[in-house]
Amino acid sequence: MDGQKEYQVQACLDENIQWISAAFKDCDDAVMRKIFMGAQKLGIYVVYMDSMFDRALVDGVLLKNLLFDVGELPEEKPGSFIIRRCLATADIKEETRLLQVVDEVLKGNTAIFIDGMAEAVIISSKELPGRGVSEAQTEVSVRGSKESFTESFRINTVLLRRRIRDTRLKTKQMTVGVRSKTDVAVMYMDDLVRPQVLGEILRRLKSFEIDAVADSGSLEQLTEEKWYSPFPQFQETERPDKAASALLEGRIVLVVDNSPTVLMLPVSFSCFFQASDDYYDRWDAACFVRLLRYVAAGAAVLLPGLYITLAGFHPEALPLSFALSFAASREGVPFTLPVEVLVMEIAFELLREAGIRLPGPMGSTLGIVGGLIIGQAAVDAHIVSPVVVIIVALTALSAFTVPNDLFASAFRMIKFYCIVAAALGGFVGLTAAVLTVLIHLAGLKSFGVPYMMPFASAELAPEGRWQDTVVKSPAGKMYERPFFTRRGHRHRLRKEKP
Amino acid sequence: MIADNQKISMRQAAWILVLNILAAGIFWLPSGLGGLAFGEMMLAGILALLAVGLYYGGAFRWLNRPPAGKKERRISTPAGCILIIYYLAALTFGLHYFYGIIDVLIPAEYKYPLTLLLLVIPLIYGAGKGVEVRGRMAELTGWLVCTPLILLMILGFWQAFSQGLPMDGLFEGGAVRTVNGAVISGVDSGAAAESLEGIDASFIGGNMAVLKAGYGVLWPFLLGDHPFLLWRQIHFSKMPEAAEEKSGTKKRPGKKILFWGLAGGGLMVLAALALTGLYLTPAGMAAEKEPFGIVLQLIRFPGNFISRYDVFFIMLWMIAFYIYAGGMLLSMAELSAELISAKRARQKGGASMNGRKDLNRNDGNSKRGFALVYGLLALLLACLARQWDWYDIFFARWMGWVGVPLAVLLIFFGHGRK
Repeated sequence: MDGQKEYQVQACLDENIQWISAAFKDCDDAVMRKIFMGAQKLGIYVVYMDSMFDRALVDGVLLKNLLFDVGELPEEKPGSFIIRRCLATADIKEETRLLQVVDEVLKGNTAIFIDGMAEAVIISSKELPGRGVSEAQTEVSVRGSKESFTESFRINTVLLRRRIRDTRLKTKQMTVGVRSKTDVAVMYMDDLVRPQVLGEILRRLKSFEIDAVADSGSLEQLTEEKWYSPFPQFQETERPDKAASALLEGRIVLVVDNSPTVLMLPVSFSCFFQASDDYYDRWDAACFVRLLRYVAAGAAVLLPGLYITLAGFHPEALPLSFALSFAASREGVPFTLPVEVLVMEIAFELLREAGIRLPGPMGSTLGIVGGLIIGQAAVDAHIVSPVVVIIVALTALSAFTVPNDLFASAFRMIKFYCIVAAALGGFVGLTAAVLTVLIHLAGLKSFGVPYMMPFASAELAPEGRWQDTVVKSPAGKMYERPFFTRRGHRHRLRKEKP
Repeated sequence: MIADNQKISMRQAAWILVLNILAAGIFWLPSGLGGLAFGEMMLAGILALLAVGLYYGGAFRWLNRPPAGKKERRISTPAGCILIIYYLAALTFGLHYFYGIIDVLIPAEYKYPLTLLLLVIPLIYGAGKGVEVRGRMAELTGWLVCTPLILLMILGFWQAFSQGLPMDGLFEGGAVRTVNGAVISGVDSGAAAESLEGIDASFIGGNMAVLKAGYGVLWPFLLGDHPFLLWRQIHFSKMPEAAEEKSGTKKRPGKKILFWGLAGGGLMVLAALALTGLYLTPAGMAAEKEPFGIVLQLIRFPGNFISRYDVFFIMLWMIAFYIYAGGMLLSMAELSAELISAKRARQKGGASMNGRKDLNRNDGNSKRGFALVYGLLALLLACLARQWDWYDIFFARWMGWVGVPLAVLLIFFGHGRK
C-alpha cells in the first residue's frame, strides 16, 4: 500500500517535488522549477526536459499566463481553476501516477504539479529536434509525391492522416521497449483490415520485452514469424503515399518513433515488385516495367548459376560460336568456373558495401573505380574472364531493379546458394536449389496470408487477383481491393459505364 | 489464421494431377509405346490416359459417397502399412527412373548418388512441410513447368508442319533421321531391327500390342498420389475462409479436378507423344531409350541463343517429378504419423482421435522425421538397386502386377471408420 502511495501524485507539493527530484537526480537536462502564482502565492512545480519542448508555448504562453496574468485564485480547488482558465492550450491531461508523469516528461511534454492537487497536469509540448519532411531517397518517384517519412513519430502519423481524412483510419498507440519506451502506432482502416491480422500483430507486439527498439527494423525482427527466412515478412517504405495505399488495401501500417521507414503488413511476394510510379504512370508502361522487374529478379538469382551450369556442365546447349567465345574468354584464367564467379560476386558485394558506407560523392567514385578499373584490371590480369564480369554486372543490375532493398538482399543471398548448388550439381543442383527456395516460399506466410498469393492459394481472393501482380491493370479496371482486405469489403471502384 | 487449414484447394489438386501425369508420362509413354505406328501409338496413349481417368474418376466417385453412418473414412492400420511399403518401393523406382532420364538425356558428370541426393533433399524438405505447402508448390510449379512446355509444343508442331511431315520411311542405315534430315544419333541397327520384328503393323495388331504392353505403360501414372489420400486432403470449397464459417459443404466436385488434371496433363502428354511420332519413325522410337528427349533436342527456338533446349526441359520435368515423387514421400510420412497418432490415441483410450488432423496440426516434427527417414531409405535402396541387374524387371513386375492392383483395392477395402 505504501509502495502504491509512493508512486501516486500527492496533494502535498513538497512530497511530489521530493519524488521527482529523486527520479531526475543527475539528469542535468531535466528542468524543474518551483514557482508561485496568484495573489495567494500558490506553489506550482514545472518539470520538462530541456530542448525537447516547445519554448514558445511553455515559456511564452503557459508560464507567462501562470506567473503574470493570474490574479486572485479561488479558495476552493484552485487547481481546477488553473486547468480551466489559465492554461492556454486544449491538449492537456491529468495524471495521477508519478511514473507515468516521468514518462510524459521524457517524451518532451511538460508536467505541472499544483499544491493541494493530487494530480499532475500534463501539457503536450513536445518539440523534438529532427529534420523536417524531406525527399525520398531510396524509393524515388518521378511523377508522384516527393515526401518521405521522417524520424518524428507524430509527423509520420500526420503524413498518413493527411492522405486519408477518414475517421475509419484508426491508430492504436503503444510503447515498446522497457527503457527506450519507443512509441509505436498501429494504423489501419477499421472496416477493411482483417480482424485476425490485427489481433495477431497486437499480440506479437505485446509478446516480448526488450530494453529498446531503435528502429522499425528491430521491431520487424522481433515480431516476424520465420526468423530464418531471407525474405522479409513485412514491407517497409519511406513513402507516405505508399503506406496510405497499403492502408486502403486493408493492410496495417506500423509507425515506429525514430524510424524514417514504416512497416506494412501483411505482405506477399508480388508486393515487393510494386513501385509508386506504377500507379502514377500509364498502365502499359507500368506493366512493361513490372514484367521487367520479375524477369530481372529471376536473372538476379539465376544468372551466375546458369552460367556455371551452361559453361561448366552443358556447353553443348550453347551455339557453337557462343561456346567457343566462352572458352576463349576463359583462356589463361587459373580458377575453376565456380571460383571465378564467386570471386567476382564477392568483389562486387565488397564494392557495394563500401559504396554504401562511404559518403555520397565518394561512394559513386568508388563505384567507378571498382567497376571500371578493378574489373578491367582483373580481366587484363587473367584473374577473371570478361564474360564473368558481364554476368556479374548484369546480375547486379537486375538486383537493383527490384524496388525493395530488403527483398533484393534476399535475392542476393539466394544467388550465392544457387551458385554453390550449380557448382555442385550443374542443372540438377540448380533445379534442386530453385525447388528448395520455392518450397520455402510456398510455406512462408505473412500474418497468415500465403506469401506467394496470388500465384498460389489464389482461391482466397477469387476476384481481381491478377489486376496488380505481374502486370498492372489500368486504374479504371481495378475494381477490387487485393486479398489483404477483409471479405465483403473488396469492392473499391464504382463507376458509371461511359 | 487465414490460410492455415492443412488442406489443398481443388485447383491445387488439379495441378497435382497435371504434374503427376506429366512427370510419369511425358518420357515414359513415348518410350513405352516405341515401335508402334503413329495412329496406334496415339490410340494407345489415349487408352492409357483413359485408364488413368477411370482409376481416379472411379475412386473419386466412390469416395464422394458418404460412408454408412456418416463417419469419416480413415485408413486402417494394415492397409496403411501396405501402402507405406508400396510407396517405398515406388519412390525407389522413381529415383532410379529419374536418374535414368538424366543419365540418358543430359549425361554430363552427374554422379548417381549425388544426383539422387539433389532430388531427395527438396523431397524431404517439402514433405516435412505438409500437404498445404505441396498444394501451393503444385500451383507455383505448374505454371513454371507448363508454360514453357506449351510453348515448346507449339514450336515443335509449327516446326514439324512448316518443314513437312515425313510420316514414315526415315529409318535408314542404323540412324534416326529427323525432319531436318540430320542424323542425330547412332543406333544399333540390329537392335532396332529386332525391336521392329515384334511389331504388328496392322491397326488391330498394333492395339493388341498396346493392350499387351499397355499395363506396363499405365502403371507409373498411378503411383504419384493415391486417390484415397489425395481426396481427403482437398478442401471442397472455393474459399477456405467461407468454408470455415459455414459447415457442411458436401458437394465434392471430383469431376472438375479430374477434368482439369487430365485436360492439362493428358493433352500435354499426348502432344509429346504426337511430336515424338512426327519427328521419329516407329523404328527410331523403338531404338531410342528416351525418344521424346531426342525430339527435345530437335526443336529449335528462334533467336539462336541456345542451341539445345533439352537440358532446360529436363529440369522442368525434374520440377514436375518433384511433385510426383513428393506425393509418395508425403504419403509415407503422413501415413506413418497417422498410424502412430492413432495408436497413441488408442493407448490413451481417446476415442475421438482424428489421426490426420492431429498429424497435420500437431505432429509436424514427427512428420518431418518420417520424411527424413523414408527419403534416406529410398535413396539407400535406390543406390543398392543400381547394383542389381534384376532391378528394373523386379520393380516393373512388382509395381505393375502387385503394387498397383493392391493400391487400387485399398481404395475400396482398406479403410476403417472413425
